[in-house]
Amino acid sequence: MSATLVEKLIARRLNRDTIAPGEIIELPVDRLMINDYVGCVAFSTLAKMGLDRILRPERVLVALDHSMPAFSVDAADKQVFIRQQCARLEIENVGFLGKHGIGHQLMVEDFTRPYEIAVGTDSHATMYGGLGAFSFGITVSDAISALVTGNIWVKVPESLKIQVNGSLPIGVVAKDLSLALLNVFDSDRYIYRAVEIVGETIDTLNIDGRLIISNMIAEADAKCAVFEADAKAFAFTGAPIQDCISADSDAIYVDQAYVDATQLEPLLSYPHSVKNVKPLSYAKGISVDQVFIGSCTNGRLEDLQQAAEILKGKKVAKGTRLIVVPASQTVAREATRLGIIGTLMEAGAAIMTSSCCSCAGHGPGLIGNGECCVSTTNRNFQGRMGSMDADIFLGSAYTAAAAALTGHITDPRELLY
Amino acid sequence: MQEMDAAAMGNWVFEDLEPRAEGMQGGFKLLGFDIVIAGKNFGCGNKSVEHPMAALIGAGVRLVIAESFSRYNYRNAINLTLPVLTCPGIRQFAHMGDRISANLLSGEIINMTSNQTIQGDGLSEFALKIIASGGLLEHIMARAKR
Repeated sequence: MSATLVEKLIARRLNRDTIAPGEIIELPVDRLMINDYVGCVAFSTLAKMGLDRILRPERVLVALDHSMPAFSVDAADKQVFIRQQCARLEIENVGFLGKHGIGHQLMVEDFTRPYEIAVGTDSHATMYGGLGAFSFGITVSDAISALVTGNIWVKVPESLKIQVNGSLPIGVVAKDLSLALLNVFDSDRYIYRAVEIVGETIDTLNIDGRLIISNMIAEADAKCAVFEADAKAFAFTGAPIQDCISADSDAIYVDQAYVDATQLEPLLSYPHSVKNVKPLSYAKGISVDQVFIGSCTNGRLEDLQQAAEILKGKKVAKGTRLIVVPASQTVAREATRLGIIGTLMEAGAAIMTSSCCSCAGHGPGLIGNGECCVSTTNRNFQGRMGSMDADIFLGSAYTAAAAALTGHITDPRELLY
Repeated sequence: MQEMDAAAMGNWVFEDLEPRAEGMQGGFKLLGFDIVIAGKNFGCGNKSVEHPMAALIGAGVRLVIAESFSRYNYRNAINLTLPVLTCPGIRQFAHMGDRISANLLSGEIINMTSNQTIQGDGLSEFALKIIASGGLLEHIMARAKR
């Protein structure tokens, strides 16, 4: 036996002993997320195909996250249609207002379990890999395949391995590590590959942190990130603990790398490319108009806690605005219960409804001409959050909160003691 | 996100890249090219939409040969019936206006203009089956009816 982690996850699901990279298989889908961005296309295609039932609707989760609450008549009409289709197809897991959230977040909140095959109609569906699932983004045709046949076709990916050891320095967090991991290998190396991420640093991360890394790996053009499911992953998902599956010691990788976490510092993705990662220090002092803390990447409790740690008892800088968007209603409720939302509001933050909003360039919270935004999100393409003539820097919640406090790009380590 | 209308989207394909197609509805299609030769990470990025490949089909493209493909676009091309071959070195091998013949299964690519041959990665039988069925959705429907 010489199998990588992803090969083991796939073989296990197919009840096979081994599986080889490059092999094309039809893989059963255990969890499928469809969002409102492509949901209408998926459901209307299904209707046109004359199909009025789907297989196992209980494994499907429909998220209304790109436009929540609906911010245009068109969006409202689409939600009406999606609601009708969910009723028709007997899909009960739907993120209606009240139990809403970003689809990827809903997928990891008491839904996806370790070792499952979990996919979603959005690029950052790689995120469920943080739970120990085999997960990746798909498109409408693939979603329809999963709905109708229960399977999708997959080419078994080759694997890359990254071992991360050592403790992250104070003020340096999973988001900084996730940005560092985008350039460990040459760009081409990541394409279509599974990135297996292991090591003592990963073991010590909370699930919130692992989810940041598995989310961000989509930006490296990898197929997926795979993590070993440990006791934390099982506890987080509420699944009964199973045997730990890990790669064989003689597994074959296309490439391997080692990262020393102790050497990391706060990092930023500089405009206008996610992979344009450089130390924050090069941008120190740049004036910031808007700070955005949220998204499927960094809208969880740990992120909001980091922001509150920086901002507790203080005020957002004059001339800078701070938008905070918890990744789901559940996160918002928990953050409120813990007093985090109150702390952030007292500091001057505006709290918005859980959704993709500005991160996807949808709805409220866009930036204008000549503005600069520090954001915890996963994409900083030109025009992504509004004006084409604006700069977006991506960083951790610590880094974002530090910018909100001072009004310019600031090393959060200077504020943490 | 709107439903895909390949023909409508195809009207504006490569408008920025090909001066003869600029500002002209259906401009690229009128030029009569049906094979696209491309560099690394064709399609770019990691975007879960099928529209770019549908637009190529709408513009009359019948084969893409690239140094490498981004995973979504490779997959979406096959799902939408557009054959794609990965072939490192293809950019030096083929030039605009060359006549190209390719065996989709074996991956052998012949430049009939320069009389040279290069070996690319053929498509799997599974992928060819999807393409021959008329796309993933047709493939599913055919199986559902059986």
